[in-house]
Amino acid sequence: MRSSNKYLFSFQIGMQNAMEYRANFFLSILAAIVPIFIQTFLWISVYKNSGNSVVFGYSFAQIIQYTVIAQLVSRFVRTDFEAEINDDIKNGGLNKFIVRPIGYFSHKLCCFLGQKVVNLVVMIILFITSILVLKFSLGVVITGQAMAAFTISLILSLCLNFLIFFCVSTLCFWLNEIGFIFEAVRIIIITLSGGIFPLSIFGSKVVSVLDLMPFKYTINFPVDVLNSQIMGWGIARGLCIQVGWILCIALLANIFWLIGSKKYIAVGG
Amino acid sequence: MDRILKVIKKHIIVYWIFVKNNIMAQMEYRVNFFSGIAMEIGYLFVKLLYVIVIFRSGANINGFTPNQLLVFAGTFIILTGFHAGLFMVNFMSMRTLVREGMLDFYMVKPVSVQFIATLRRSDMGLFVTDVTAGIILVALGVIRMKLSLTILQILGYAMFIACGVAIGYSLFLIPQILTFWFINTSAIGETFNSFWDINNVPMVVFNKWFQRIGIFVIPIFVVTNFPALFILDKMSPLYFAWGLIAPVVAFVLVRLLWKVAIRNYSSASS
Repeated sequence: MRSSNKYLFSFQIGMQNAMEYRANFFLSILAAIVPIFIQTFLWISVYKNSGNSVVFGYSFAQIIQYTVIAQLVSRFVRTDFEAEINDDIKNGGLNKFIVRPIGYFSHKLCCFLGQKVVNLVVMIILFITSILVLKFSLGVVITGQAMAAFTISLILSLCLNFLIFFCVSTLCFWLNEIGFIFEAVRIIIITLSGGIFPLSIFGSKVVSVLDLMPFKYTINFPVDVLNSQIMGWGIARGLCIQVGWILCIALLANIFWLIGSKKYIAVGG
Repeated sequence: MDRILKVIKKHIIVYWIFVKNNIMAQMEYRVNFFSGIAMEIGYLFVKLLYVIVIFRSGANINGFTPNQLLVFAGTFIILTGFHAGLFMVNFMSMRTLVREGMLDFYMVKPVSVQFIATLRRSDMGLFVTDVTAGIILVALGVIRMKLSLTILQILGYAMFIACGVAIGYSLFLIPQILTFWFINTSAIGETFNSFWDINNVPMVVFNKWFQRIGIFVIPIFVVTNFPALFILDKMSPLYFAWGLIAPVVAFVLVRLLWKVAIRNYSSASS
């Protein structure tokens, strides 16, 4: 077997999984309609009553675009493997990777990307629909440069989010019970990523602290690139920071995994 | 009358036993208990984001000041405590009860089947977290507005909270009752549950038509908005009357639907 084939197999497993649970992804996207609906009405009220055409640094069209696209992006980059990793660590599922020709990290990454390729089809349809609706209702125009930069930053966000949650999953080596910890961490990370509201609502001081963290580069940055909040060198700078964070967190994930796996006692399996 | 009082007393005693048993069970799995609270604090933080947006924008929303909107947000969080801590934990397991025929066990108990099937479980961690946070927000809003509340206003607020609890219970039980006919209603249930979050913002944010639908057709806005409207002295006589009638109508409807549904129960797996 060629060495690249093993990655392809893991990729295909991810695709098959996503195909099997395609209704689940569709429903999760459907659930995004409620927050979009609520936030749209909230923003209409805020802009109407404040009398300003720019609030938190966004025009009305930009904020509605942010609301819709951020919901789609947050669902697209979302990971769902934390419980699987917990199960593999607690019930000896890692044992089989001792004899498999592929590492656990590479397997999970390929599966994740395979899953996202299937999700991408649904995502593209909804994305195009949203952009068309925004264009005809609010006159939103997306430039070719913004679109290209958004695509690159979205791919990088996907990798960055995978690595962040892989790091979080290594907690299972140290904790006997996980309970709802992953869900609590997920909510905080989504909020700090700008997955619910743009980060500028927190004010400049908090934003300058959040700038030092990797989270905003998973949702806030790609969405701001698309709605032209960030342009020119700002995009190049942001993409470089994304790559930098990917390298740092990949290193961190490996270190955590190495230290954690020393505590692994191969129960069951 | 005496008989009704006896039945109510019996159910209160049984409910207290349920609560004690649930607390003991939760204490066995402490990580679950505390991580559940951490999760709820996370959700609370998300709810507060809506307050942050309103406060930082500095705008009065359709005649309501940010401090008044703080009272709405606090009331919503108090009622979320009842919704998530006392009801949803039961509603989520309704499908399993019906699908696996476990309702049989409850039918032979000397209390109402609806009572035991929809109220036996509770999560005091979620309940206490939300109710405490909600009360703090309401108090903060009231203090910042320098409102001096009378005993009557506080009692009226508590009464409308109770009405909101009754409507919330009835409204969100309906999609779960469909499980008696369709067995797998997870998609309907989950989609309907996401409508709870519509109260993340006060109803004044929505346009008049949505408000009318949300008050008189599917009274979701009555649940969390009416207590706040009452305490802020912004309640019209029509809303006052509907706020008292709606929970009775909703509860009677859900009771009738339950009785029809239970006749349809076929005890699948037993």
